[in-house]
Amino acid sequence: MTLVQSVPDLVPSRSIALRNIVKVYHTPIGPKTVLDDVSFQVMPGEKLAVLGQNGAGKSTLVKIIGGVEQPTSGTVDIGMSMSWPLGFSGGVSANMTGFDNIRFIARIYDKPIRDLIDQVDDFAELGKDLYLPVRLYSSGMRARLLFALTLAIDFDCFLIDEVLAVGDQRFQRKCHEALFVERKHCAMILVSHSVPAIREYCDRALVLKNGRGKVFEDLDFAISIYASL
Amino acid sequence: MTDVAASLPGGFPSYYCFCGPPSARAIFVSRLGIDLLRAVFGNVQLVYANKAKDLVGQLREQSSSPVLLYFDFPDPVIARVVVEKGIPTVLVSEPFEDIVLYSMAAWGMDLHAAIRFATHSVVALHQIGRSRTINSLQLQGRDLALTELVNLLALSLGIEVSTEALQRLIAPYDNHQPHRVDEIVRRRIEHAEASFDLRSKLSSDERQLLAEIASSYQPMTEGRQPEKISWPGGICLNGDRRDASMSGSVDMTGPARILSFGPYLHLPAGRWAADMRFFVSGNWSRNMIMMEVTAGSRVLAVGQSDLPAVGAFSMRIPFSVEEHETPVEVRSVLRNGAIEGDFRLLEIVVTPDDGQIRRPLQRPGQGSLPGQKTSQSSP
Repeated sequence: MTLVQSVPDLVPSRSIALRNIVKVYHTPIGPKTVLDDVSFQVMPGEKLAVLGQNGAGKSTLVKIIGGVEQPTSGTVDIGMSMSWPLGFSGGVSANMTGFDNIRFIARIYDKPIRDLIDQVDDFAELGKDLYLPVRLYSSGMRARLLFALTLAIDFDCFLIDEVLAVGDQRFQRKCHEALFVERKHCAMILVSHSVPAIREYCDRALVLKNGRGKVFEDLDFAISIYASL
Repeated sequence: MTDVAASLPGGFPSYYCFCGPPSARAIFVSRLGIDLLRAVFGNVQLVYANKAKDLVGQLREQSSSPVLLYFDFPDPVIARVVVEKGIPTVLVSEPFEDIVLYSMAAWGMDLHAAIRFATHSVVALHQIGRSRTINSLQLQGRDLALTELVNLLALSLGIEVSTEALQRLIAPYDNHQPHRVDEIVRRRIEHAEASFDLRSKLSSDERQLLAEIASSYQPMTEGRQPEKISWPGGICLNGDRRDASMSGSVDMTGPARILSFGPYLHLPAGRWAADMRFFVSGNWSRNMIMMEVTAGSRVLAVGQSDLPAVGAFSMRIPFSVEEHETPVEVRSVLRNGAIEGDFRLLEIVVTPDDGQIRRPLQRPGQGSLPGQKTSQSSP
């Protein structure tokens, strides 16, 4: 009998890895580099904060991770199921009802429609409003639908873009419980300006500055940099 | 100043003055000066004061004896009174390096502290060093005989020494034939031997640092106006490790903070311009640097600029020193948090300000870069 030792991959397949991401937009005044050689990796269960001032490239990074935008160069390896950006309204059709949007998502993610409707209805508490076109929803109602839809899919990693303040206080508490307590085993990429939230939920941080990015294992050090950017 | 001047009622020849930096030779000369005056006049009152108020306090107890003033860090008032009153004065001029080494040997200072100490004395004495009423005496390298030195001192002070007085004066040194001054200093002055031997115990980096600063301050010990004063990066302190010198590169990664500070060296009063020369690399995320010149708690001038990604640059700001007693500090400050980049302070060159308006940040030989501002506090 021969024993063969297995050699793990340098980059585990169950991870989200971005390598040397560059994103350049062409503007009337010339090319603008929004992300410049940004690399990082998120392993299962890890919670990565993304910190940076407005214009540092956070939103572009979220769109690239979420697959909404393609990088100009660099590679994005999504090795686990990844949510759309929480708070990203592009995932639902405004002309379709909430109910139809749920059915649409259920088909894409191969989930039982009835179960998904029940879960979303239970969480979003939209009641009969689910049968109205989403364009008639208030911003709070739309955020509740999206939040409920995101939680209803069993993602390995959640991409959260500054939406921890959805709806009223009671709903915020409900979101917090569902996301950070019930799904604490999930990986998260949390883009936020809220230092208390970052401290509470994250264990590492990617700090973006003028399109450049660096991951810090020491969260307090990263926050101290962010505080004086 | 009026009080101090009024406290010197006798005028010439009641007052004599010996001064010099803290060094073995200066101490010996001052002791010999006391002996000389005692040999000539009998009783002599010794007054040691660097501050005008101390001088006034001691002179209240004056006797009818001649007064010998001694100082090594005179404040501007004492310096002015000595010059304006025309008090016969012997200023011992010493090599800057010897002052530093003696300070280290005598008071256990580290090299940086001894350099700060020495610049204070050299700049303070520089106030009077250029006056024609002062007799500057340089002993180093002259290999004088003791009798020659005594005669030189007597000549400088305008007093006559009889043969008997001279014999009485040099009698205690009889066992040191043939009375060479350097040999006597080495044997008689505490810590002299150790200070002369200390140079060989310094590391090569320390020797280089000392030599670089000495070359800037040496002209002042010789009564000349310095054309430029260079403070090497190594004399400044690292903002991240307060007890470490600023040699080598500093990782800029971190919150907004002071990258380098110090060197707390002294400058003569006047208008100056500081050129901070540095090398930066890996600064791809566009940080901003601020340069701040301070004296004590007072900010003398501030300038700031965008920091280029890579290269050697200099940042220049003019400032005024009102009095030499407060040491000057030049800080480099990272204005914002940084996620990358290395910063190396090469040197700070301080030159008398020629009054020309220049942009504060310049790549040597290539002009200035955009986005710079400076401000200078009004006196």
